[in-house]
Amino acid sequence: MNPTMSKLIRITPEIRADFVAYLDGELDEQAVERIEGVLAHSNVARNDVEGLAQIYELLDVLPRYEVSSEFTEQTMASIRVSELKPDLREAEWYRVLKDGLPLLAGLVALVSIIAVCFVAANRWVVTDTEILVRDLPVIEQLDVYSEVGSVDFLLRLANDGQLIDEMKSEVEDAGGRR
Amino acid sequence: MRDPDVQLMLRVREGQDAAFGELVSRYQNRLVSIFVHLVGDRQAAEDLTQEAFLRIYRARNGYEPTAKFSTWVFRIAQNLASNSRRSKGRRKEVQLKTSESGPMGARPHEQLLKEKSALMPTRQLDRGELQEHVQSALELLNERQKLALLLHKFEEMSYEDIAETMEMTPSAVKSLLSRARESLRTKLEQYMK
Repeated sequence: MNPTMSKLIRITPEIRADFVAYLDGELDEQAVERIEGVLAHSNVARNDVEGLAQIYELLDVLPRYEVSSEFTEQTMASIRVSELKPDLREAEWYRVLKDGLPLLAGLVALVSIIAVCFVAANRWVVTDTEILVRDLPVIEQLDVYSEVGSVDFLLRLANDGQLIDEMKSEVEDAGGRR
Repeated sequence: MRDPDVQLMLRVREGQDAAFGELVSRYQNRLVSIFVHLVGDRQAAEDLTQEAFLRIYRARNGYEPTAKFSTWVFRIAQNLASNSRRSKGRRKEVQLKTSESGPMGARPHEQLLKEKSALMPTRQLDRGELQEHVQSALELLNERQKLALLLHKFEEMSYEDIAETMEMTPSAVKSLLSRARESLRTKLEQYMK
């Protein structure tokens, strides 16, 4: 790169991000060479890096705090006190319960499904006894229906109210004459 | 794992409380320093430090040395600081900053000091003044930027360790630190030599 080209170097956000990593010694060899190439030919880049280095040095003025000499003992004492009130999460039964919780949840779900199926089966699936009770009136009259011999005729008869009335009155008349 | 802190923690797991005392001594100032800068309150920082040790102690039985002990400790610290900030937000408490500023912002004499400093950027600042400006600039960073910066500066953690602590990738840490330092530079440019 010649000096005229140096004016054309554009410091991209990626290069700028690498400046900090360069100062922190966190770049690989190839990236270090690239940054040093940029620094060698760009005053702007050198100023940037110098500014970032100074900022990092400025952070040295931030105070570091020290606790009192009793702090360690107080901390240990508070831990001992907390151990007297055992954390439920550390208890064996809690761990067993926690580990077994998915199994327990699965079991509950399975039992619930079985219960729902049982209730549904009882309510909606028709048993032989129920069929027998439902068809009892037909079974009771089975001999009469067999004598008629035609299901079509019986169905037409059931749907024709006028015919039934006529037959009834005829039967009554015959009874009256007798 | 050769990490001496991991060895101490393994002894804690075996029931040696003295080893835990040693860990507390090693980490107490480091944790308090990070917490003070994260939550901006000394007493809260000490309480959070004790809470962090309590969590570590309670986790002793299930402890497995899969990473550096320090990255685990500071991950716990990060979670505690985040929880503390969230609950503080819920309570809508007005907290004092680490500077002397009151809840209504900079006090008149502080404001005057800032204005004087701004008018005279080349004026030699004493260490206390400079510290105040740097702290104010740090407080303007977001929590993750602040933590990454503090872990790098105070704990001298590598990007990889910061990434492990903050559950990020090293390249995300690189961007985070870069943005943090750029932001600080913008705010503190006038105080640089």
